[in-house]
Amino acid sequence: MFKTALANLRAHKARMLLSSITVLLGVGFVAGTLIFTASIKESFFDSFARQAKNVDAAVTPAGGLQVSSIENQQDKKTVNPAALDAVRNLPDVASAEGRVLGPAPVLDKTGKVVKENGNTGVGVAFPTDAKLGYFDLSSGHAPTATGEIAMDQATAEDRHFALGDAVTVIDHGDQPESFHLVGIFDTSTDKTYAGETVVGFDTPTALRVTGSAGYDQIAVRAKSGVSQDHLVTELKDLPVLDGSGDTFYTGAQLTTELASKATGYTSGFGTFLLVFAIIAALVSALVIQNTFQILVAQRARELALLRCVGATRRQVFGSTLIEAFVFGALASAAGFFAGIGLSMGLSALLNAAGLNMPTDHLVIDPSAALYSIGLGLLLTVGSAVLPARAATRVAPVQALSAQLGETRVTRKAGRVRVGIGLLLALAGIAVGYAGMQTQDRSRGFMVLTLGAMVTFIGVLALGPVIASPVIRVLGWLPGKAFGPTARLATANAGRNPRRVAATTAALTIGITLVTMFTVVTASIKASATDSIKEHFPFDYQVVSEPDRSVPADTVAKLKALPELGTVAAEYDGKITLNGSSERAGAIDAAGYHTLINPIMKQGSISDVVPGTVALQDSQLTSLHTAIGQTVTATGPNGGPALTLKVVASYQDSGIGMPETTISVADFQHLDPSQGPDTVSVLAESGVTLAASRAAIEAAVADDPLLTVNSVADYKNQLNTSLNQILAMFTAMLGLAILIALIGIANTLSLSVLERTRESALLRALGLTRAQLRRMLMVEAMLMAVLGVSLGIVMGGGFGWALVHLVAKATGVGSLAIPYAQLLIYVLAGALAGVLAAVVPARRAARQTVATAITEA
Amino acid sequence: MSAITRTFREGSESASSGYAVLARDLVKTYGSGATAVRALDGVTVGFGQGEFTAIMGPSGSGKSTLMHCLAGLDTATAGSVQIGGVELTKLNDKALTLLRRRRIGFIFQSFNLLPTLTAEQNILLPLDLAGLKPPKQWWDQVIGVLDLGGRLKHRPGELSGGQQQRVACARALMSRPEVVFADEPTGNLDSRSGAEVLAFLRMSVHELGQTVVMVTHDTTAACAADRVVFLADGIMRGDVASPTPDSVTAQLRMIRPDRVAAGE
Ligand SMILES: Nc1ncnc2c1ncn2[C@@H]1O[C@H](COP(=O)(O)OP(=O)(O)OP(=O)(O)O)[C@@H](O)[C@H]1O
Ligand SMILES: [Mg+2]
Repeated sequence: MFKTALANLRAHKARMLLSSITVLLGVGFVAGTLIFTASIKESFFDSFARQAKNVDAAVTPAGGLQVSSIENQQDKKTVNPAALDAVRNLPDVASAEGRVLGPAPVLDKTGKVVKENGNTGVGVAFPTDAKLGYFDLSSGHAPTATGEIAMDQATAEDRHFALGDAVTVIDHGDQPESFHLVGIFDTSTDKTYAGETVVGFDTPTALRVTGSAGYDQIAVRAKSGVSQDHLVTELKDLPVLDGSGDTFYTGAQLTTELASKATGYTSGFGTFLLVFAIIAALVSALVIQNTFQILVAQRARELALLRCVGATRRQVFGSTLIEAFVFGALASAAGFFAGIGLSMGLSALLNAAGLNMPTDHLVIDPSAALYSIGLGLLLTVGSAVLPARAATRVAPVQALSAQLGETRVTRKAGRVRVGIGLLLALAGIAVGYAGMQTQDRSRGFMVLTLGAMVTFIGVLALGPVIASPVIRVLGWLPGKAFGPTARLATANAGRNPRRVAATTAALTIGITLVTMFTVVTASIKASATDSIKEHFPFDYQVVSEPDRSVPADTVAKLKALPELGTVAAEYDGKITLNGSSERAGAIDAAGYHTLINPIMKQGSISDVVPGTVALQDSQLTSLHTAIGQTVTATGPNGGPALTLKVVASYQDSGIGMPETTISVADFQHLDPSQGPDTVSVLAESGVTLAASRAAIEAAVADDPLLTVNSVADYKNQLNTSLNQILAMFTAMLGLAILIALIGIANTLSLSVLERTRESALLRALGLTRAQLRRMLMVEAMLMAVLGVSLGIVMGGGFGWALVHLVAKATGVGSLAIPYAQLLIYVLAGALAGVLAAVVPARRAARQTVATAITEA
Repeated sequence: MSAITRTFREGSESASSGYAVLARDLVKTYGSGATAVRALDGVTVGFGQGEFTAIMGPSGSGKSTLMHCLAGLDTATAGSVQIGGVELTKLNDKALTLLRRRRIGFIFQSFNLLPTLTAEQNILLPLDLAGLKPPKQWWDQVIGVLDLGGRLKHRPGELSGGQQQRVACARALMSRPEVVFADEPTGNLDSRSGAEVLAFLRMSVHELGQTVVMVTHDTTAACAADRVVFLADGIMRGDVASPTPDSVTAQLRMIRPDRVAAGE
């Protein structure tokens, strides 16, 4: 039987080729993801490991190791700066460096702040011991004196800085300071800073400019012959490093810690990719299963002949499975190699999407091969089980009577299938509806997802029932446009609903997900700006850089502008309420009802005066308090406590209201160091937008760290980032969609083979070559549009349910259906269907009529 | 309607030679070199307008090949074919297709109908492709004669073999073609159904003025025709007018005595 299986594979090489591409792509995506994840992990580790180079011991503050500027700058702890000298004085220490990483906005030559991906630059300390440095200087020397600075090469090239130039950096106190550029270093392979601008200073200057209270890390190099453990023991014994929760590492431990950080950075990302890879693999499994099903149907006569000459059912079953196994092994192995190429493509794609991924490594683990090829085999052999069972049901007598697969028009779908499909779909809708009613958002989401999945499976099971009528409806328009050819195509597409349903299901999966994301992002876009308009109806906002504030004189200047109506400074920070840390906000009283308009549950926002507080509704319970009672508030840096009376509560609306709102006076009392981070502005009525904007821009022009945003600016920013996310999801699903389209091409090719006789008859009766091609293209187009339409209906439904769920939980959010975009999906689907038909249609048209018509 | 009727007539008027189909020195070679098969080896034959002709000959003698070449389904290696005065060998694929659609009717031995279409849609297919409709009177006449009125909405799978062949006949005639080619149209039918089909073909020639060329192995079927031409090894080997079973059998015996005795 093994020989028969191999002979079959060889005989049907052409037929299997397209199907094997789908396996290849599915497995390739999985392999590519595994390889890619391992590779970026290695590259991240490489970046991070520079920190451990030549380090024998390290001390970090209680927060632990900080590897990159991506991590939170707020509330960060540092190592006591006095410790560095003490460490250097230890007898076994060859050298020690205090490492510093903090904000250091750089001005370009026109006086504007340099921003990369929306972030201003960071400053680091350059070591005096070059062996403990982690940047390679490409020209000049390391900054060693107060007025010296080094800059990363990318920024220097972009902004045209050369050695000897003056570079202005805004220090922690918002004062511009000029430095002499003495060195340019290379961060190109180091993605720790994710493309940010980096400048280096000598250690004391770095502390001063970034406003750091101490070091992020003290790195120590031992004298030769001193063990790392011994060095750490000595460090631990230093009184100056005592009590503040400092953490100690040997050089080896530091390396291990950095490796685990690298894993942490990449594993979430890897899982995200893997989800899409598995979707693609499942889609290819659907395509394969369909292919085997068709092949078995086509070979019914052959199989029956085998049965006639004495093959048992078991042998027929086994031979089909062996065929699948050999096919799967070959295609999966090819897929694995494709995955290597794909992993490189992925880095290109993600870097193009603005995610700065390190790509200087290609790590091919044997486990990646094992998993991906194993998965491919499992999918192909698994997909072949049902068709193989169908093969055993071929009766020997069919050898004499059976017509080839599709030449018979198949009957309606079984009643069992309809029953199960309906049951699943209805049950899924019921579960999803229950999920939407749940108050708890995350639980509701889980239940809704479950419901959606069950509904989806139900609808796929109903596919064969839905397919014929939908195809008939869809075929109406082409029928009008192309006449008889399109009508023939419609009849062909509807002749085998089960096959069509199975073929289009693969496409439906991808389109459902894409549509869902599209509807959700469109709804977010619509609701976000709606809620700004309704609850924060500002015309402009002047915002400071993170961890800085809008200077008081700027606020005063803005308030004095005649072009502006209402101007209110807003404060944002952390306070402690009844012992728990909360985000607190405050706004000048002028802003109540004019610039902020929260959805109130009790009281009014203007009740917030010194000595009172308004809370998010949910905070009332979590803080065990109620309207009329009092809470105790303390500032982030201790200081005297305040007793505040709770006077109002507002909805936790997810629109940016902080957990706690207090008066400006109380805020300044609790956190005197923190100025306003935002000034919201309403233009004076009667003043044109251009005039008010120009007035504001002029008022803040001399402060490069302030940004002026209008609602439209926010909307644009939000739209840009949402579009990017949607584009990435779509690209990730693109492969699954591509596989599904190949599936359509595949089914069509196999159908064309079956219908050789029929095509010849049509040609004899007067169908031109072009018409035959057009007929097949319309057929594929109908299949594609069927798959896309089903996906859009389901994806739209799921998207609606999600938006509804969020709206219910937060009070904000309205459904927005981007009809134009969805229509584009349908048209793109139609076009893709036509493209899928190109090869099979050409093959069918090439057939000479006379030979085909005499073929049995 | 009048325009359509005019197009319908056009074919018959243009044939001035008196032959609906005329083949001269037709050669068809399959393959090349040592394995080349000369399926037609210089066939010259004409089929008169309003004539019912049968083509007979042993298996492999080239009957189907001749028919395919005459009908523009296949291109001859050499020689010429004219249908209604149009030289087929000079036409490209598209022109040939349009010619088949409008001027030629086909009936094959089996697999004549598209399984996805109803009987009615099958019958109308060639006209439909040309964007035409048959005159009502002609439609009624053909459907009535073939007794298909009750079966028009059925799919081929729901029809008997004889009914399927009658549907194929209706389709072949519906466009009032210059000529109808039938390759063993009764080969798969029992003698009664076969007789019905033959009677219809005869009637279509004698009462409706059609031209029919039919390939057959069956002496009885051949005798329904006005004339029988014989083919052996790709060469014309006889031409019998007003055939009788005796004259046909005698001719067959002459071209392949051994096989015919055993086979037919
Ligand atoms: N496509 C082809 N390629 C090669 N040889 C062919 C092809 N078609 C037909 N032949 C050969 O041409 C010769 C004539 O075949 P044809 O089918 O015309 O015979 P026929 O008279 O119709 O026979 P039958 O009565 O069996 O139908 C045969 O020898 C056949 O083998
Ligand atoms: Mg033949």
